[in-house]
Amino acid sequence: MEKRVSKSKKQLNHKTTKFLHSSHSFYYLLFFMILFIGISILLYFHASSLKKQYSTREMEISELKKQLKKEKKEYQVLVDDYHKYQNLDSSIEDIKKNYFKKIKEMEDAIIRGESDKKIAYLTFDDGPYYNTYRIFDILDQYDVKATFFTTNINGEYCYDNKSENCWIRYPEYLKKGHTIANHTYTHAIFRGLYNSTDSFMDAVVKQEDLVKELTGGYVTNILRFPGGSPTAKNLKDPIIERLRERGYGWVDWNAKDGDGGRLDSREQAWDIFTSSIDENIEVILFHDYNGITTEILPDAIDYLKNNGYQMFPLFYESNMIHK
Amino acid sequence: MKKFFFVVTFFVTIVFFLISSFLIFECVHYSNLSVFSQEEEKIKKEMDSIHSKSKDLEEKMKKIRMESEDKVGLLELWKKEYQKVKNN
Repeated sequence: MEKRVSKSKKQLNHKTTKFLHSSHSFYYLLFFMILFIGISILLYFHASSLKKQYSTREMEISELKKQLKKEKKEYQVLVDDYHKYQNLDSSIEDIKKNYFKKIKEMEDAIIRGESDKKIAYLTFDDGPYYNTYRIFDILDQYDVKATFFTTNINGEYCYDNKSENCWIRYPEYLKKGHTIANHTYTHAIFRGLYNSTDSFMDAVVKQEDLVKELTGGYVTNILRFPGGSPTAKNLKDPIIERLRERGYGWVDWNAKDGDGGRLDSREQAWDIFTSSIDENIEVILFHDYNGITTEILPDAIDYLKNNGYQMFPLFYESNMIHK
Repeated sequence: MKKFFFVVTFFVTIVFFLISSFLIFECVHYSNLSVFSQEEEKIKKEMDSIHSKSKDLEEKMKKIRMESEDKVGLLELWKKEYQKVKNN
């Protein structure tokens, strides 16, 4: 057995030695080695160039991806902006709602005696007139918002300046943050307005429609009876019932400068005005057309401010609006 | 001595054979640029669609901006008024 093993070992050694001694096989090996080295060098350069191309393309794609991401972001900003514009009306309504809510809270605190604040609601009846612009200027100057009880007495052209269009003032009221209220289309106290509930309501609806048309959809919901609510006499309650059904509240006034009647002088208007200011929440009656009112208005606003009053436009939810 | 050279040559050959194989795989991998072309086409298509959508929206924005100029002013006005009452 041992002999056999040693024989086969010997044979193997012999073969190996034979192989190694054969210069052919060594040269073959050497040839392959050089071949593989050559191939490796060539492949290395080729792979390097491909790698370069690959990474250039990779970078290009990543740049494109970045650009796409940026454009998507810009597009989203545009979409958001567009939605903001689309929702402008509701945004304005929301902020107005919150604004009036704050004023209502202030009113409630005053009524409960928990606040020493005072509120004055400046109201101007019978407009728009040509003179309304002068009122606007004064209110702008003092940064005060007011309420305008509008009628169509003037028609399209202003009674106090026939060459001027009065209807274009309707959008201006809103643009300046004032409240447009309803004072009936005709204001015809002695010419049929108070003939019946229907005649009155017709004039209310006509004015409501006019405001809606001229402002692009603003709906009035506060009314002042022409001449004040007592002028309606026995029709007052049925009219109020109809107004309520239509979503209206109504308001008279508890302060004035007397410009609805005959005023002889500025002093007279001033005396009437200052003596009427005696409550913590005032609804002050003025008229758009009156020159004396226009004259005393800056002083009146100063007087109110000096006496601690803050001035706001009227709103449906106010405690001063009867429902 | 000859045996030693033979062994060294053998291992070097193996090593370079492996290196070549690896480099061949690399070459095959990096020469596949068509993946990028497909991706590029897809991205460009998406970008074109965003461009056209943006253009449409910009047109609409121009129109809505012009129409809403007053409303924007009004919103600012009410924001200011609200702040005044809030800080009161």
